[in-house]
Amino acid sequence: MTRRKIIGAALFVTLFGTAAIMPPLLFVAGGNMDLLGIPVAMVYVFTIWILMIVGAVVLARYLPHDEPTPPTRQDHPS
Amino acid sequence: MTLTADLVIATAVAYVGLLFLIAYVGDRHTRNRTGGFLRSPFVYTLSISVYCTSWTFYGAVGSAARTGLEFATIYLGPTLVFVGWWFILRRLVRISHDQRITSIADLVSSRFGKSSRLAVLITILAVIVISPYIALQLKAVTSSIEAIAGASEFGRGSLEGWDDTGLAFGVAACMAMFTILFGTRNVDAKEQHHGVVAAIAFEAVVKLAALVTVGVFVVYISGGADAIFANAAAAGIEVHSTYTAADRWISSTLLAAGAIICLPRQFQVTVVENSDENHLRTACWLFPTYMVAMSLFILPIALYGLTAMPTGSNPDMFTLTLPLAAGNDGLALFAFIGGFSSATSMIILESIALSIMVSNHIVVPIMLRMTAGDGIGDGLGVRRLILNARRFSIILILFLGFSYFYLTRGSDALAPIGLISFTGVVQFLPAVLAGLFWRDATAKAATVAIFVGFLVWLWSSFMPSFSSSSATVAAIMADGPFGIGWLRPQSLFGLEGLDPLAHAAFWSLFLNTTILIVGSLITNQSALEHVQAALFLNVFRKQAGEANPIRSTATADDLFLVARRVLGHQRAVNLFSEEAKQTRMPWTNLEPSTAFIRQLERELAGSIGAASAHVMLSKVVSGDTVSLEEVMQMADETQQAIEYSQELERTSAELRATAEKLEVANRELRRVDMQKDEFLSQVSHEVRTPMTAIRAFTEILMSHRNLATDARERFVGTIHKESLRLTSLLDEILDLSTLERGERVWENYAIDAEESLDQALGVCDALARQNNTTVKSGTRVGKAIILADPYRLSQVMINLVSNAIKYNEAPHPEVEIHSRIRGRNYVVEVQDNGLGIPEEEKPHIFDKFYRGRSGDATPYAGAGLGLPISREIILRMNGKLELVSGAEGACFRITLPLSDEQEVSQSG
Repeated sequence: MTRRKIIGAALFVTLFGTAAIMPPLLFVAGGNMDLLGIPVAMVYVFTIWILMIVGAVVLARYLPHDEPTPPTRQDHPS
Repeated sequence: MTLTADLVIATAVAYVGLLFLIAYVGDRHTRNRTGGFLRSPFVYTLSISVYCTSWTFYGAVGSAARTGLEFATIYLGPTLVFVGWWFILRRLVRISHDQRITSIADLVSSRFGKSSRLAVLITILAVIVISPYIALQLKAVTSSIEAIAGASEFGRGSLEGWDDTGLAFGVAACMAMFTILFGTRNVDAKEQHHGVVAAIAFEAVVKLAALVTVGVFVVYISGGADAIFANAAAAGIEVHSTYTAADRWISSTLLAAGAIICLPRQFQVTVVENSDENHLRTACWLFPTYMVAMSLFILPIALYGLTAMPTGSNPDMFTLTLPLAAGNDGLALFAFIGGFSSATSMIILESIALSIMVSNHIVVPIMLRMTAGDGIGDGLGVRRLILNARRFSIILILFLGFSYFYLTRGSDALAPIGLISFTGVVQFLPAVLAGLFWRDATAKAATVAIFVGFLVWLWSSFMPSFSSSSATVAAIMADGPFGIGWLRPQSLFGLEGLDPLAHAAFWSLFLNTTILIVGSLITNQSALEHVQAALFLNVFRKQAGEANPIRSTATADDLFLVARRVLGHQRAVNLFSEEAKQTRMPWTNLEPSTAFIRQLERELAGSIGAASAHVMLSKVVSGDTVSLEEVMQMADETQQAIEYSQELERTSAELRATAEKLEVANRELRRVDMQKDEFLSQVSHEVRTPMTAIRAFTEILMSHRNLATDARERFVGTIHKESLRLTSLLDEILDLSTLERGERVWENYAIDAEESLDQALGVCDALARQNNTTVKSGTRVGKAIILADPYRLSQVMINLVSNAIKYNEAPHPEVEIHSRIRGRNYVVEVQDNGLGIPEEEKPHIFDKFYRGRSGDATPYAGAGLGLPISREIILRMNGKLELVSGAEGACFRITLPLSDEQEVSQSG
């Protein structure tokens, strides 16, 4: 993937994550249902949360490194 | 093990001692080596986890017990910011590295033209806004000690006689002392506190471990997570409708997302203490993971607490009281240490971050103002003053926190207090984002926007929290000030039906953002703002060099004095020796370059903030900034005018160029048209003469049938002659036009030009004899190889020689031919001894149909196309045919370039 597409993917993960944890998408997982005895709502929120983290792990590896790293703060002898 | 109040206090003190040890070792570690483990992304991430305070440790459980899943929004917001680290955090970190930013106030002030006013405003607001948050920690620590003391069979121990307030005051005082000892041992030139960060990272591990242990314990004793939910449902607790109102959910997510950027301590650990931009790559997933781990057991603990604990117990303390109730004192102590960790880490870092802001943006500028005369003041160094200012600020901050605690002691929940602080601190967010992404945001607009946002917060979020302790506030809440209904704090401008949190967040941020945008549109930036805005916006572009804020007329001595006062002797000496080494000049003669002053300003900014460093250096090099500002101002205003007029000029230049081209083309067309007309009329004229003759004679032949035979033959001969003439004329016209248009395929061969010349002379021999003309061959080259068409070349030569013979009126006509090599050219001259060509005819001699004055008189009147054709032919051979002036009679010269072969044979 090109550099721009990776950045685009990062934006997508962020924005989609935002949409997913907000109403109205949040209400999709409402109701009185349980999953293994745990309310679906809680399972939903934590699943989205973990998916975002997985996305961040993957993206952190591929987001471009090419910009010059600024000098660290120990760059002057003291 | 029996848990007593004395024991927990002793443990807390011992724990603080351990933190001290860690900080000390951490400082030693970074000082001796390059940092090593303490500079790893993991320690960085753990220090960011200072976000999880006792609000998380205790308050989140209480919040989950009251409103269910909503507690998660406080961690989902920051997760979004970290997952999207590429867009905001990365910029913030890069800018702060570049500009040596020391705090959130410094960041905003630096972006808006190093505005001191803005820095002061943000500092003061931050101190006020954070006080509820500090109070929250005090309250949590006090409640946790009380909870243990209350549960202990040994009574209150040494706490006998201390009430909540006293205890909280004691905690606040201890914390102040602790933080002063911790964070103000020295002024770190770069505002990085490795020891503190190490201690904070350690605390992050402790609190996570404690909360997870309690969570696992709760799940274990209740028989599994599903059992907890089943029991809660059986006990009549609604476990499913865990979503609160959408407005609350959205606002608290948004507030948390903003707070992770704007909270002074978060800015400190995430941005200022960042030693490597790439650490964000780890933190972007590790910190959210940390928060998931923290949040995982919150709801089970809350629900189990609600079912297992007697009604009326404080849900905020479930994390501590559940192990206590289960008789597991060891776990309870661990839980207490976890909560204590989360509170102390927050208080330490928050007050360090705030004290840096207070000293850099309020104390140092005041000092600078008071010592206006000699620039820097004398006596003690700035460093000592800064340290004292910070110590004082820490005390002030904790005192304010305690005051808030005291005034609102009637309310019991922790989380709402935290959200009050979040709403306040998020008022900086629009200015920060505008600084990062919008070039035209102005300092004036940002100042007013933040101030108005703060006022709305004060009215609709901060003040209502006093309603339980103040009757006046309660009255205002109910009826509005002086009975003005639309000013009621929780339904401003008649906006009813929104949750108070969403209401305050909406109005404050809405007005804040609107004022920022509209204000920026109608006000102008100062020169420095302009420069800083560009620097902030283009932080990822490789720049040729930023505009220099201060010109260098200051002497090295002055600058050194400033540097020593702020940075300390050793660092200043290092800085200046480095510069001296680089410029290869003795220190005493050091002329500070602009780059050096810029570096110095950044170094100073690292200690005292951008605005103060700018003011300080400006004083040393007084006058310069003013002129610079003026220049920049002018540049600023003229820039737009220039851009506009350049645009216009470019367009009109294009138009002009097009018009000129059109005109040239038009002129050319008209010229060609005229030439064509002229040519046509000339041709018609030329054709008409022989045609007239032919017509006349044929008419005679037709009407006089009895003409004598010899007359008839003479007439027919004339008709024939005229027809021939007509034909040759038409041939010539055709020839010329094809030559001129360059249509005919033309091939040049390497030939000997002398041969063509001899051939021409041979052809003209008869003509010469007929005219009694002597043709003399003058100096001749033996051989001249040129590139030409042999037939055409002879044609030209014949034309020239025959012209010379035909139009020679001398009594003893002579024609002389010369040829020679001149440079790389072969030159032939045909010279006659006639009258020559009159001066006025010379320019026209090569015109079409032009016949010299003599031309008409002689019997050989031609069409006047010979010379134009000849000239055209020679041109096609890359040569030149010209009339040589000055000689007696007429002299035509042909110049033709020699071919390479000739040159070889010449040189050989």
